[in-house]
Amino acid sequence: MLIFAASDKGGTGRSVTSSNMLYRSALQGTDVCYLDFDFGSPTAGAIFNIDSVVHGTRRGGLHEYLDGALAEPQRIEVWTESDRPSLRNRPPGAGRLVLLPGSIGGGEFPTSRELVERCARLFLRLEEEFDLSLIDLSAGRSYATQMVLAATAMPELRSVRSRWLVFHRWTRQHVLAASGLVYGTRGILDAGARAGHDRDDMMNRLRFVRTAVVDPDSPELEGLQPAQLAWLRECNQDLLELASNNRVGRTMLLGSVPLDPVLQWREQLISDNDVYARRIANLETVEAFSALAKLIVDDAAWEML
Amino acid sequence: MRIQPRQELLEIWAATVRSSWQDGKWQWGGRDGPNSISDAEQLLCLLLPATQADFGLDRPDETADEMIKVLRPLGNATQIPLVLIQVLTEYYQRYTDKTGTPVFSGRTYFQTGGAEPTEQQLELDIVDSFAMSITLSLAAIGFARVFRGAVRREEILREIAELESMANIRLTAAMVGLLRSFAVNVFDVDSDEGQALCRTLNQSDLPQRQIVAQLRRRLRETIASFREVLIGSGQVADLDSANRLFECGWSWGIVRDAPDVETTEPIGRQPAGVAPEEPYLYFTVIAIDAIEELFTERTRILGLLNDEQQRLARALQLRWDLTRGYWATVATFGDGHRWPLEDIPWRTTDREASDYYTLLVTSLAVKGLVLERGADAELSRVGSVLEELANRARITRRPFDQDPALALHAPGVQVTLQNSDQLGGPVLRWTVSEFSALLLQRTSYIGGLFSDADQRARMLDLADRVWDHLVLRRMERGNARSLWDQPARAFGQFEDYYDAPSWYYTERVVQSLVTTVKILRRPPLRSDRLTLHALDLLNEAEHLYDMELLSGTAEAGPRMQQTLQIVRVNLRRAREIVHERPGTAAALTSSVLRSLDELNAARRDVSEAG
Repeated sequence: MLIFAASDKGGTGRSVTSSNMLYRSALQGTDVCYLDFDFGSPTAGAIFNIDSVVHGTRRGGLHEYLDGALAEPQRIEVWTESDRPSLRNRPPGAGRLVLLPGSIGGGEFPTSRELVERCARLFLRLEEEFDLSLIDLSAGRSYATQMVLAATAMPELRSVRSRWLVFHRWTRQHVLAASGLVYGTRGILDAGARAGHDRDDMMNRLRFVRTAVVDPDSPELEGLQPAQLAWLRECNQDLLELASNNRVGRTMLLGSVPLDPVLQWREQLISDNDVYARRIANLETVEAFSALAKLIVDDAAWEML
Repeated sequence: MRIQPRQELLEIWAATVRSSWQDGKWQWGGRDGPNSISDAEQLLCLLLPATQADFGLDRPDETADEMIKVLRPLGNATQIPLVLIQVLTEYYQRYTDKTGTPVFSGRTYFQTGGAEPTEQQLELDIVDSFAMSITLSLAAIGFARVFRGAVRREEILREIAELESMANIRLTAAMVGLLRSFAVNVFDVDSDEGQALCRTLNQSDLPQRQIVAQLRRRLRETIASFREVLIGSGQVADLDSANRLFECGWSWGIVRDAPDVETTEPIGRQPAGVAPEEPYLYFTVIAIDAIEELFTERTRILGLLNDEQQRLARALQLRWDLTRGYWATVATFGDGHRWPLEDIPWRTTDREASDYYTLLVTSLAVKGLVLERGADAELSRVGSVLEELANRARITRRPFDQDPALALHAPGVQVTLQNSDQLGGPVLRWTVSEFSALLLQRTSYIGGLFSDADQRARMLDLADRVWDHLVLRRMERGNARSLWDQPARAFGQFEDYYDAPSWYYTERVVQSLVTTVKILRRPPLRSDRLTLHALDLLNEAEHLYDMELLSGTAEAGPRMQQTLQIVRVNLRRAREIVHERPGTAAALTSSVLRSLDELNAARRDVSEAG
């Protein structure tokens, strides 16, 4: 299955959330791969702690592949090549976790027919090899988005299942932006329809994920003054209504990830080590990632009203 | 107020789901077994808060987390409304017969003196079912209308449309049923009924002739309006003669020989009636409450009624007006030193007397008072009656060992359904044990009508005490825990313990909690006294603040500037809210006065020392 991760704004935690979700999925025994389609600024290397490709690779990344410069993009097995000890060595029962990095100094490029075909071929190959391929797209309305929409609309990929996740933070601006990215003019649904997808069908395969959510009722907020809590609850209520009116509400929500200090200060994978041994990350955060990893393939969760 | 309706309603929701939803299926029927009324009551325990108290389930995007949590067994936020749609659909299918006619039978709620009722008797339509169906169908249609906005899948939209059409048919049929069970009982002054009515009315020992003339005078408009009753039952011709009296309201079922009501809606066959043309207080109150829901703001805003239903609703509204006017007049008849209502217990024209009847007449009288006079003084007298009823029914007082008042609670008041034996079989009876729940609902309702804060507080205090009693009567064990009714827990005299919940009783408690929610939603009552006091305080504080500025205090260092800034902000806030929340404004102003006085007192010290 192909999963496309999109967001309207930068800094939503799209990459870090989707990598963590994918990591949890691999731990649950699924074979997964991660494609860094954020051509402007590839960062996946940093999240998986692979120092050689922190800002993209020099040895033939996705860029060069799509450009036609080589036949296969570089692949990195995270379990063996990560520089972070806690990620090294595949845990028993875990599936494969492979990163396809972007290229250093790549930049966005306009879509062409050859590009789309190469992209489609890549997806097909990965689909045969992996259970889940997550494609991390650049923020906003990007060429990358148009390209994957065109690729998935090709007849060869019709039988391949794909789903879209749109990440946004739980604030007024982000809610509005996420809604605009999906439903607005030249938004994902628009662009999808133009590329030949069915609009309703696209919508059934698209869900939102809220990131860095502060639950106003969480016990961690006990340091706040009562007036601050009252205000926070009211704001949250306000946001719920805003989200509902902009069709970003609960019926379109796949899951939400709480605000976590580790994600906030350092964008990285949260290992079980971080939670249980070093206790720097919250258990709730990991649980949210695991839940997302399950929901993404759970057909019941994708049933529409 | 000690009642916390939100928390209580959530607890009832959790309990309703726990005892009704088993193995992924809705289990119908409680203590008395399933029937068209009990099953509707069971559903209303979930739907009443959802549609009338803003416990929104129909907008899954906005449902509060706490509500989803208690309904968890039904599914997640998006599944809960779907399950409700399915269960509602099941209800409507269960109570529609093969010819497509909605069924309003009383079945397991009918009781007898021992003999088995015949099948034909069990199928008799009953006003309770008409009334409950109106409430349920309005809730269901409203729920479907709002929920539809969140749905895109064709098959779900079809399910919703199907539910809506079934609910609409049942709603129309119930309205027709009420039009055919409206009863006007006309009698001579010298008849038994006439004499009984005169005795009830005559609280100042006047000659009977005067009583009759006075009553007819005060009811002149009502009597005139009876000419407009042109469809259904209750069409009378002979009210004009000066020695005739009457009473109006609802009989227990379709009145004998009630003509069919012509309608364009497909409601199937209209059964012949057997009920006598005599109003029953219990059924009248039930019908009046249900009819009222046809004109609520929600019904109008959501446009829940179609054209045909609006026509029927207008016809029902006329009967509602007549009934309300009649009972308000009768209950508060006389020169005012003592109302017939205050002469507890109320005696009906067929010579039955019970505190429960007083409570029912109170409900009717209040509705009349609200529209005609609505003055606090009159409501306050009704409030005193409620207080005394709570006392007499041993809700706020301890009972004797062998206390006859306890029969009100268990088994309850027995209402004989006259003429029900005409189909063969024994005479049917209807048992009504809702006294405490109804008392709570009426108390809260009247509390909400007061414009005087003290009077309102008195009523809400009574409501709290009735609630304490109701809490005692909750079931405490098993699946049905937190539901009602276990009278043996409140009264040691009873020995029967029940395992299954009574939906009849629980629904009434839910209704009274919903009434409480509606009252708490309104802004607090303002007392003029308090407003004047707050304004006086505010004037003084503002003046002192201005003096402070004039003397140049604000030019002092940052610490002083900050203090004066806080003073200014508080004064502005107090001025803003002084008319809505005078008490809060006074508190804010007090803090301002205190901090200004600190400065003053300190300066004073200098001048005194010097």
